[in-house]
Amino acid sequence: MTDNKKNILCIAFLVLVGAIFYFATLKAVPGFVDLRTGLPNNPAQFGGIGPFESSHERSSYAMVLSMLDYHTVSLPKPLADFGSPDVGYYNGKFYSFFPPGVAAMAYPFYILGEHWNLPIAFAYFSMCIAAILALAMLFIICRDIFGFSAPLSLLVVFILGFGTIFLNYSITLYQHIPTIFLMFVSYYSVWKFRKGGKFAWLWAAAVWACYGLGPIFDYPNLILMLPILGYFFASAFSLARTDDGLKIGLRNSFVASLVVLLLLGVAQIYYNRSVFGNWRIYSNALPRYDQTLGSPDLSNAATQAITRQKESVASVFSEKNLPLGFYILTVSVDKGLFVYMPIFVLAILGMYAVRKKMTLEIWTLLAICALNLILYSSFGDPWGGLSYGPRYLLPAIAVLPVFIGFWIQSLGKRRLWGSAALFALFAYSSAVSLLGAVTRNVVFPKPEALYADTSNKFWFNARYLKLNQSGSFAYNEFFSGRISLTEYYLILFAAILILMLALLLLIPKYEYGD
Amino acid sequence: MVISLTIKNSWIGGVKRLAGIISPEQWVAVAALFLAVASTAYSFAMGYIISYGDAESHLNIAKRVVDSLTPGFAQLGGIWLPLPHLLLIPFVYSDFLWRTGLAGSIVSGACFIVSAVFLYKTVFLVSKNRAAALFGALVFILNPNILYLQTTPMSELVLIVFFILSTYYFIKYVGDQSDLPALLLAAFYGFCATISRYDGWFLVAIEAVVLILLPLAGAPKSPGKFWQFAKSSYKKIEGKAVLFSTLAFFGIILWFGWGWLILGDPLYFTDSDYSAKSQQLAWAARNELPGKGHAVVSFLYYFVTSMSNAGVIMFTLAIFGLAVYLFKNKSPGRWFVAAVLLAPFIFNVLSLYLGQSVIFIPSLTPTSYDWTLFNVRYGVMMVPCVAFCAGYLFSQIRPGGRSLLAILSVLQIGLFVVGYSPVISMQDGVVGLSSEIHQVPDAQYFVDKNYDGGLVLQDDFARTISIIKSPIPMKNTIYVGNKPYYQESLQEPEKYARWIFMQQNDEIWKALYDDPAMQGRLYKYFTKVYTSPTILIFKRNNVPEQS
Repeated sequence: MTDNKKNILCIAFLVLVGAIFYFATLKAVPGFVDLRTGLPNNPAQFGGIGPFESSHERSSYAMVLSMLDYHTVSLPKPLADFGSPDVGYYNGKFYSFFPPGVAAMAYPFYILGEHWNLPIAFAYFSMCIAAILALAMLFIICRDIFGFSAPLSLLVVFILGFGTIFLNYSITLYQHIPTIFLMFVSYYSVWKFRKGGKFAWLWAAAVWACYGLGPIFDYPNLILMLPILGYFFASAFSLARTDDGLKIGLRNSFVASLVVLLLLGVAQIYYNRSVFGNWRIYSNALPRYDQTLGSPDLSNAATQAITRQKESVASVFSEKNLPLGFYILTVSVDKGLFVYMPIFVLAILGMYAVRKKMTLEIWTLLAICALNLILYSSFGDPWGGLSYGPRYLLPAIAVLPVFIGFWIQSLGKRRLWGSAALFALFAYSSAVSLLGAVTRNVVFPKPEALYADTSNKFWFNARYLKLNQSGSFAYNEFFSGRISLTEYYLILFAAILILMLALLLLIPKYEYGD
Repeated sequence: MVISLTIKNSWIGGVKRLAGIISPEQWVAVAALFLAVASTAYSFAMGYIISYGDAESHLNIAKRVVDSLTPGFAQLGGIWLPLPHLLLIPFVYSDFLWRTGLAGSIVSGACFIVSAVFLYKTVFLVSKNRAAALFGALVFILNPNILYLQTTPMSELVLIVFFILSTYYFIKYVGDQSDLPALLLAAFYGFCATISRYDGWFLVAIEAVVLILLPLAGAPKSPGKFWQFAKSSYKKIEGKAVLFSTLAFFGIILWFGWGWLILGDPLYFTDSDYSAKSQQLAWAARNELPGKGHAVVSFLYYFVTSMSNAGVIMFTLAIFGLAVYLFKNKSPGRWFVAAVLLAPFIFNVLSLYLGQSVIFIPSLTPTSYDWTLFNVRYGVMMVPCVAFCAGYLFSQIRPGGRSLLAILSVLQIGLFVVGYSPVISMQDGVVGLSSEIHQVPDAQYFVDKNYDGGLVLQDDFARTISIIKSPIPMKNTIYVGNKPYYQESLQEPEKYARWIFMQQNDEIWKALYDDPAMQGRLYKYFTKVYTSPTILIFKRNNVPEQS
């Protein structure tokens, strides 16, 4: 079988497996949730278990509804109440804190879903599609850039897709998965650009396009994608000694394709200006509207927005937060990377294993991880609200499995023990992620857990298994009367493990020639 | 298709010729001088030179040696080590240099320049790479915390220069154990360090231990042969240890002698009410001495403090650099060199653990504490080590990696500029607990406006009124070091003083105001001319103005 056919087959397999597992855990409920006439009839569904567990999801979903019914991104009061406290206000209007990218992605799917009375499920499934595309991109990156065999590439993708909290954020309405997709596309595009060829300018345009689209999903993407831009610049830049002197060069296509970024920048400015009346205002910096604290004073909102915006750059990310943030995001019981996904210990070993084969591509991946960790360790709220695991580290989580791939390649004669360790760590990491996916994607940070008199540990969610309380659309609609939630969880878990085992058994033949 | 630009060979040659006008060490000195002057101008313009309370105290100690009611070397006191004040003396003769703090800027600035040059030489000595040495020196001279402290009269730069000088010559000796002049110079600068700050005591102790262990590094591994080797080397080791220690530890012995002769207690520096130990007891009583008895907490506190001073990126690079130095470099003395370079780290962690010192830093100190920013400047002591390790890392990597290091260094400067990384040692001086300018008492303005000559009695330790910022000449002040004026004034306040400044619970308040009999006497001869909740100012009745 040719490599191309093999790749197509693997990607088709990925799409199939991804679609099955993501649908099996998708957070949704059937029918419409009519918020336009006031607060929902069943408050337990909002902030409880299901598609609206956190204000993050509600706020983006409220924007979808507002775009649909009012053709605007500002939120009427009932929708603002629904999305609160991830809602800001400005000039007498309410807005979601988040840029419109996620809502815009979900919007057409919502309309499509209306035909089958499943608008929420369809809107949320838009993230599953982005996740599957991101996984496919990672597969291509592993194959083309790092030369991994097909099974090893699949294994790397499988670790990301089903052994990390990537799973938890692929089945709900957050910005992280589209961000990862853009990162992968831009990274791959730079590599293609670096290789040259007549379509190099097109790849360069794709890089700028991804960078320009980044802030439409999440503003910090402008920073998080900088390593890829650095890689891009290094690929376009040349320095050579000639007889005349020192020749410094920059590829034309790099400069010419910049027009794509400029166009997207202008679009962003136009959006800000038409929505807020001021191109410098962005939604994250608006004064917060918390419905539990009563109606805000909308009259001085403009001044507050400007003040907060100035403050946010200098004080939101600060070195003084670094020690606590680093602890929270890496080893704390509430959100620690290595507590939720100890499989990444192997990624550290992979970094060590690859130290003598460092390329610009690998440096870029390391830079993405380092920048992501440093940036969000410096953030005032490293917990990421009630998130399940260190969701702010998702860009790093997305690239770390590649280093596990390098580690596997370096195993040599220790491959049996290595595979056993990998399998055990994957099983743990996958069990943790799946637990949140089939129950509730919510874990309280320690300060809030103390205040709310609840737990800040992910295993607290296991009680939902016993109570048969699931946010999974598929379980609630098709299986709830037939099998218990624990059985459902175990079936999915067993299926993931079997697939993993199969991949592990295939690898020796392709990687070590056994 | 490529857009290109060619830098002509003639241009490159021109730059090379320009660079060759003076040696790299001289370029480092020129760059350091330029940065020292520029940052001093900035501090001067912003009023930050004497922002630390201790900065004024250092200037005053030096000033009192030459210009006070009872001038003389006894004014050096027995708490702070004397060398920084001795170096200030020639400059504080000038009232302008004393009052502006520029006397301190000159001393610290000179130490800064010499430090930069010898840091360059130290990195070059180990790496044999001029670019790496230049990089190391740049890491040091571009550090904003160092740049700020070298504008002040604080004693950190004085210690840093002697630390670097002693380390340079010690590393030279480690490389060639027959180089006795290098060992003697290491001991001499170690001696200077021991009379600059107490950190210097630990430095010479580490150097002495290294000196003893160093010959054993080349000893055979088997126990029998090892002891034979140790026995045969004993005389040589003993000789060198005596040679080094006689000079290096002389400062410490001098300080004990000074305490005994002048203050009646050789351990005055640690036993007196003004000592750091006494101050830490107050923190301990409030349960705000987080490092005491907690090794991990002490380590974390100093780790984060030194990281904040060096900059998070540079500190991380330095950790890599140290690892490369220890594990890639095969020279037998590398572990000993690392021990000397890390002496400030070990010393500060130990001080925190033993409760002899305290650091509050916002990233670690609980917000429930009264203050979350204090003494963070102790972290600058690690900047030379960071610069050395970063420089060494630079020497060991390929050109592409060097470009990356350069980019990361620029990024670090950017982080300081945008405020992501605060210039924390300056922040402590400006708004932290160490600051004197953060809350200038209203009484200061009263004194500025109303002081009309005459002797002033005040408790210097309480820092009620800043003498340096007032129109009061130093020789018109009576403080605890002016025997017998001060002691007699606490019995007969009217005897010398025309003005009395007292702050709630300071020594003068307790002696003259809390005691009803003394209070009666006070009011008999003095009129209360200023009242605030914590500060009282009295002025002598009907006494002709003294000059």
